[in-house]
Amino acid sequence: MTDSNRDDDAPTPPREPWLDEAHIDQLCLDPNSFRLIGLPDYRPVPAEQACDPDVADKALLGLMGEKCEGIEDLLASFESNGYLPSSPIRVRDLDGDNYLVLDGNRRVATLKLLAADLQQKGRSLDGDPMFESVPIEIQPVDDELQRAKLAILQGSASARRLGPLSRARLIRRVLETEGRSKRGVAFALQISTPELDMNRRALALADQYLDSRFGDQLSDARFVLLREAARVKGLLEWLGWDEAQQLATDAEHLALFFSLISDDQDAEPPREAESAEDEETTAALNSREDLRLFAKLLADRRALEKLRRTRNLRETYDNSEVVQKDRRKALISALAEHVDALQLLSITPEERLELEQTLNHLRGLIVRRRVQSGEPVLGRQVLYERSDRHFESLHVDAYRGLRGLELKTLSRINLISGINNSGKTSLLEALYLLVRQNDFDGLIEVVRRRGKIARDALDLEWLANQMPKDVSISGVFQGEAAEVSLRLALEDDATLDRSRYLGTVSISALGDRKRHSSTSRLHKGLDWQTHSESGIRWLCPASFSSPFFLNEPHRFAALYARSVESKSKDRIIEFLRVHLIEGLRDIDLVDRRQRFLVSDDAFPTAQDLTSYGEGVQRIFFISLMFAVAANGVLLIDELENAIHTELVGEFARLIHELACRFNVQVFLTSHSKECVDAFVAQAEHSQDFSYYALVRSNAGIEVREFDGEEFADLVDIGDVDLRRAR
Amino acid sequence: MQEVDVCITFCEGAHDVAFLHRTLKSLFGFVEETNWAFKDYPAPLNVQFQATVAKHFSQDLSHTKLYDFLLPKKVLRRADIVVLIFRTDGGDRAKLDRARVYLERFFKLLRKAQTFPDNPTVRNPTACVSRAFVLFLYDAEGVGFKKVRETLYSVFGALLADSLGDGGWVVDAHNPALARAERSAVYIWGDDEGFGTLEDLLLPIHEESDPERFNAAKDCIDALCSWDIAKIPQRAKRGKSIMCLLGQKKKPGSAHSVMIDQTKTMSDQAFASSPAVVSFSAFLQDFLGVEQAV
Repeated sequence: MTDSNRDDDAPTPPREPWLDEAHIDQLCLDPNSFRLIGLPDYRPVPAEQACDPDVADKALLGLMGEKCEGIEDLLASFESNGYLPSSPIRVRDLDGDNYLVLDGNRRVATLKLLAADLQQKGRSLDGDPMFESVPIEIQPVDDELQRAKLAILQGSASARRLGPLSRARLIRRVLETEGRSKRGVAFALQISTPELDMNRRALALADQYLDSRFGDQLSDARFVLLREAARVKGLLEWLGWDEAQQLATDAEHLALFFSLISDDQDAEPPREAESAEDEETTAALNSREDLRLFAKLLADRRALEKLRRTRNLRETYDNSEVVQKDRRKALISALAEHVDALQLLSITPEERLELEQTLNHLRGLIVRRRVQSGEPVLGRQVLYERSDRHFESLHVDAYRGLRGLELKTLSRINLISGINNSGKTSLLEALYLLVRQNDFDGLIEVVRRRGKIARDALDLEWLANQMPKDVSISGVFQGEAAEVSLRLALEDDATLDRSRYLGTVSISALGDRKRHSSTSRLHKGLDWQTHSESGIRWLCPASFSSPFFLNEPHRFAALYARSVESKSKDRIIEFLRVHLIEGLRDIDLVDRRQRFLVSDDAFPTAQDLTSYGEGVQRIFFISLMFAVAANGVLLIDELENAIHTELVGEFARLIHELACRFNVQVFLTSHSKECVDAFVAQAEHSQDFSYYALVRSNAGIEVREFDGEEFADLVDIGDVDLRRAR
Repeated sequence: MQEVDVCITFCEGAHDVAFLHRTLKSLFGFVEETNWAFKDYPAPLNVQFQATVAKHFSQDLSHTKLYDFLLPKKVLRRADIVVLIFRTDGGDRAKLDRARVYLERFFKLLRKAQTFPDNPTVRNPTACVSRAFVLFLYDAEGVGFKKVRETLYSVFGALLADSLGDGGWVVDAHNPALARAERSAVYIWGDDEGFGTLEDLLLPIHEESDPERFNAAKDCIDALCSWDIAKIPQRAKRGKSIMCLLGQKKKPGSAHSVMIDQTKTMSDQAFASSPAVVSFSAFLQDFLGVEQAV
């Protein structure tokens, strides 16, 4: 007797003498064998029908498997060694002539297969003891329950012996037939009651799966997935699990889940699929790990929809906003913990340098994320996310030297010119304040820009002195009135710290038919505090470029991120390559240093952007700003600054192109006739332009206004100079 | 900056330019501004001429063609009145359209002349156009006064109405050669029947100035060539030939337009007393609001 000659499927019987022998044809395979109950098409069959030829054939096939894989080991052994009965085949009497095999079904199945093979070859079984005298032990009573328990107990020690679906069904059979309490059965089978419950739920899910259009795909592998689903609380809830009825009630979710764990020929092929061969219709969820990832996506409807469409779990998981949010949350939490821990340690100068680099990196990250999220500044809301008409008119009742200045017919691109100190920059600032509505930070930015002061170098006492005292600006935006007015005053509030108090700025604004106000108190040596009942509002996205404001690289990091996202960076690089840097391949932001590095064929290594001319930088940064100002306004002070006159024309063309592409209304000032004429030269788009000359007169600053076609005519006929308007 | 009135005159040919020049100079005391640079013209003519020349030279260098038309043949001034005399070299539609384009561009600039009185090239203007007048001097030829007026109005009427507010030309009750509105007018040369050319007005003046020489020149020309004077073009050519011959001693080899303007083959007395010149001068006096000098 060899090890391979043992039927591992059978429990080890007590050692007792052989009671009888039987012919192989007298032995009927048990159609309810524990090995068979895990098959997808298993249905209970009365033992009395075991000898029915159809039932017998089905039992034989179930035990063998389609390619004899179920008895492969025994076949090899019997063919080489013959049948060596190490233990009796236990049977029970069916009708006095036939026996139902209780233990040893695999061995009997193997003998039956060998017998059939011999008979097919025309050989007789007569005289062959292997088939004529099979040792059997006749059981007077079949204690199926005991056999089941034994199978479960042995199966729990060796998964090879009993498949997970068979084992689950056996457990259910024991639970249903023994009549003991759940706890008692659990104890008897040496499994926990939660596992017992889980087993029950998994089988209930399997029953629903069997009733679905994927029923024929039920297998041990898929049952493992169903068992995992029954284990994960979130997934069960998503399926609408009713514990009392043992039923998943959310039909839509259940259908999706079953589709994902199955090969689904009806699944919608992914859009990316170029041919039928690319269509992914195999199961999207194949392992317990997949199930766990899938469970994390349940709160993300977009991800589920994408998974349904693409059936690509990894890609969907990686791109899920919910998953990324969790990931970010964990990383930010860890970062905060590490910073807390660092505070307890002393830092060396070298480490400080590294920390500063990390800080820069972090700052860029924050600004970039802020812009990517579509919020110009945290806590601020844009009233018009998209505008078709933008500003139609502007009235500067009072702002610095401007009084009663009116621009009546604004266009997509508005070019403002005039001699020095004629109020061009003030006009842009007024417009910017109107866009920023009740946002005190907008006023700070305007004052800082005028004073060329970096944010971290801001002195509030200086700031309070620089505040414009009288501001009243209005206009028509998207067909609605828009206003902003500002008042700087000293409050009488006795609770204020007079030694530090500098003043209070009150801003009142009108936008989208609603009033918005804010109050900001300035204190020496402190930051300002802004209070607003209505919340801070902007009319629309806005960006402001001035030639003297290149010292805040993190601003450009944000611009860069949005431009990359919108794919406009490629167009900007192309422009620079064609007109300025022949060998230019790319310009990348290096997050860690907050610097832009230029890949240029003329140099072996990437060069810092600042090593190129100011004009290159100006064109690059102005172009980047369009993506940030998308659907809003872009203000450009002294456009031609640092840009060669021969290039202004091409740049003007790019500005028009980007303004149309991003739906941006542009306001720009210029001192240069060449610059003005460059815009005029775009005759095919003259309807998109307006020109304004700011003129000093005895009455103050006045505006001369021209539509694009009219001014183009004037330049064509008389070579007039907008700056020299009177 | 001085405000001036400008009269933009479109003539059919060189003889019209010469006749108008002589009329304004001898009867009204206008002085030809032969040394004006572009900067000396009242705005916006200063920038218009400068930019036109610069543009045409920079584009194709066809300066001979440019000089042919786009700049005035003569500029005359008296006090605050400036008369620009352009020559269209014919009255066909294409040539009149060129004149219309010039006028359109002038009026566009004129509307903004106070805002843009100069440009980077011509600076510090001394005068600016406050009012503009437009005058057309053409021959009736064989089609007659009415047809010539209609042709001119079809080309210029809408522009003049839009730019000057002129509602339309009204034919003078006593002078069928004249039709005018407040700021624009058309004066057509011809005979009493309403056909012909400027020569029909000028030959009597020559004859009046020196009948003996005039008849000698006429006989000479008639002896040299045969003329069918019933046909207006031949009549005009014969007249021009006679006038040319009369001035050969003073301006040998020159055209009849030179004789009109630069010789005394038409004496000042005969010129001033000619009924045709008297009628034309009366019109100018009223149209430009300027008294005759003599």
